[in-house]
Amino acid sequence: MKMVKIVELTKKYGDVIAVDNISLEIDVGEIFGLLGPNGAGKSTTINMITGLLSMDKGSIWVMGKDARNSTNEIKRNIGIVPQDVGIYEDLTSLENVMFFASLYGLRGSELKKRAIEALEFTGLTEHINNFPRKFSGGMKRRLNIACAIAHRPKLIIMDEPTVGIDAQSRKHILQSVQMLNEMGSTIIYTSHYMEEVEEICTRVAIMDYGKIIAEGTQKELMSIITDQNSVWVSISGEADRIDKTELMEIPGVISVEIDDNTVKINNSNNINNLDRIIHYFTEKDIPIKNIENKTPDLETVFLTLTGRKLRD
Amino acid sequence: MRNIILLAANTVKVTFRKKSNYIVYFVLPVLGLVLSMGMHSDIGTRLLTIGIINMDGGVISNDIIDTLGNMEDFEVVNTESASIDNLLLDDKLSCAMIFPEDYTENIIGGNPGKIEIVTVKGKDTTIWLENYIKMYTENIYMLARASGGQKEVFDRLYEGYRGQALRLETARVDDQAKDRSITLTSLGFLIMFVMIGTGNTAEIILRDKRNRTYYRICSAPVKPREYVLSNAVTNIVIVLVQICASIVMMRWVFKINTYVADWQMVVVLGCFGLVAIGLGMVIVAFARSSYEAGAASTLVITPTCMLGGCFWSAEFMPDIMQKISYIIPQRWALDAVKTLQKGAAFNDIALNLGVLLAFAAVFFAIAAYRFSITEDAGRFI
Ligand SMILES: Nc1ncnc2c1ncn2[C@@H]1O[C@H](COP(=O)(O)OP(=O)(O)O)[C@@H](O)[C@H]1O
Ligand SMILES: [Mg+2]
Repeated sequence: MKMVKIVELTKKYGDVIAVDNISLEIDVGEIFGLLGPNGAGKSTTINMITGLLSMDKGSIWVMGKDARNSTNEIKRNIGIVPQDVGIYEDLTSLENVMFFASLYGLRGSELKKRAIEALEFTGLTEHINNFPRKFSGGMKRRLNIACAIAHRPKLIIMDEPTVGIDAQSRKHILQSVQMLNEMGSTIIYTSHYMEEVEEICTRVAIMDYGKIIAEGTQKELMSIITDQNSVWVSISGEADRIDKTELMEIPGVISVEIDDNTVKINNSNNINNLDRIIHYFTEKDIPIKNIENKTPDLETVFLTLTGRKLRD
Repeated sequence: MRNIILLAANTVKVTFRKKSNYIVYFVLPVLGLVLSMGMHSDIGTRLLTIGIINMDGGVISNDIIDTLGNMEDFEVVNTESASIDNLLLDDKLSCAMIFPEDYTENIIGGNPGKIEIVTVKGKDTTIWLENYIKMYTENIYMLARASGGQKEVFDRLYEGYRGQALRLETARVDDQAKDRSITLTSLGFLIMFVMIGTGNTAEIILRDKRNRTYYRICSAPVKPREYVLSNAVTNIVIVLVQICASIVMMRWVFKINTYVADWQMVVVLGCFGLVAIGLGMVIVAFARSSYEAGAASTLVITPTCMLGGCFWSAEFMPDIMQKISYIIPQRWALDAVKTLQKGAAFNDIALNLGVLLAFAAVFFAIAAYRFSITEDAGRFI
């Protein structure tokens, strides 16, 4: 049995097609990444899995149950970490977790025990009786996660759980995702940060404009672009003197992107053009600090497939 | 059921964790209400001006009029029947008394006619007057029966009666004058305050939507109608506390008399509170932002209170408006209180309560339906 099976799913808001005929299968035990820029349709897809949104077309099965008519049964087995933190600022951490967990049927001493465990797990033990009003963004996000896991759901859905938080909290969250997975939960993780998805996900679907434009393990996705390599040229300044179109004229160059003082050039594997690229810089009298040959990443996959950066 | 209790308990906890909310939900509404009622209620020592239309002119009607005129609290003026309505509405008259033709003669003949008393301020203004007239008329009727229709016998009996009865009644007036009495205007205020108080109802749901906790709750195995019901429960509790606190303040602190048993007042206002809560929920269910919800409730509360007769008696509105007023819940609540003030039995307002409960049920159903089909759980601002 698949944990989630989505077949030809479509959702429109007026003229906007938020989700455009997508099909997906997520196995039990996976950490499944849903990668895509803002507005790609990730949250909309998730809201249909949890039964919060109706589907215009297609169908979803969660643990073999039809999402159209067994919403509550499905919801009971899901832990959702919403994109926007949904906690009560006037309740303590413990009260927050206990309230949400109680809605999933936990009660009595079991409820309290599980809530304390969830807070421990998210590293909030010291703040168990504090009010989230005074929490940092990262702590609020962790509490948001604690509220989703206390009832030990079989499927945990995290919708961009690391937006706008410090590096330490992010690291903590990514680690806990892997631990939750090891403890037996299947995880759907959406993000527009490809580094995160690369770090933790066993399989990835890339979404853009409501469509799934690529899907597979990281290896499979990379193979889309194995005939490519990436050259990163670091310079010490004067990036404004570089003309992308001129670089693109060099045979074999597929795309060029300038990121601060790093010029990222995607190259076809079949053509040796490194000398011409270096020549371009020396001719313009732009000193080169470093040259790296990068293996392609998901960012590159996205760039190749859509012609756009992931975080435009 | 468990979900409803969990949600309601949580709402109460979250709301009253903030100490300032005790003020927002209880102190302010009750104080505001009682103060504005204090301003609009009749202080007993105020002079009541009674317009008189005397179509009889006989000895008994003249005696009644003289007696009233001699009392400290009343002033009597002769009036034309055509101008009564205007004088009443302009507050030039507190009430008008109409003596039918041949009143004196008929009462001696053992067939008393009815003295009509008209007011726009609610029965409270005239309730003493009516009781007085009723008692007076009954006594005279007994004299008439005793005299067996013989004029001389009656005159003798009446002469003796006159002196005593009036002294008795004057004593009673003095007693009553020490209390303030509720007027129609202050009753209207009471109804309006129940409505405004439930604006806070709306605020609780809006808060859940703004904080995304509504979205989070919906992601849990909770049905939208459970959420709506839990809010209804919370708000009913809050409204009942508000109403009881208001009545206690009126009765014991400000000594305003409503002429209705307290428990009956709680039942009527409670039913109306349900309607107001339901309406608040309908507004929230359709509003896309807190701002819209706020604007909508202002737009709804004032005009419906006007039409429903909170600011002036619905009976004085044009015919068509009167008909319209029957689709306004305020009208039914006000009518219920006025009926009770006239001394009617509680059963007599069963229809009014039924209509109010029906309004509430319809509003709750609309809100629950709307909540269950709305898909903006995550987008509300
Ligand atoms: N309630 C809504 N009403 C109208 N448009 C919406 C609504 N929710 C999302 N959208 C639109 O649908 C598209 C997908 O949004 P979303 O699923 O939130 O994307 P993501 O989560 O990937 O950032 C966007 O274009 C967004 O503007
Ligand atoms: Mg999103």
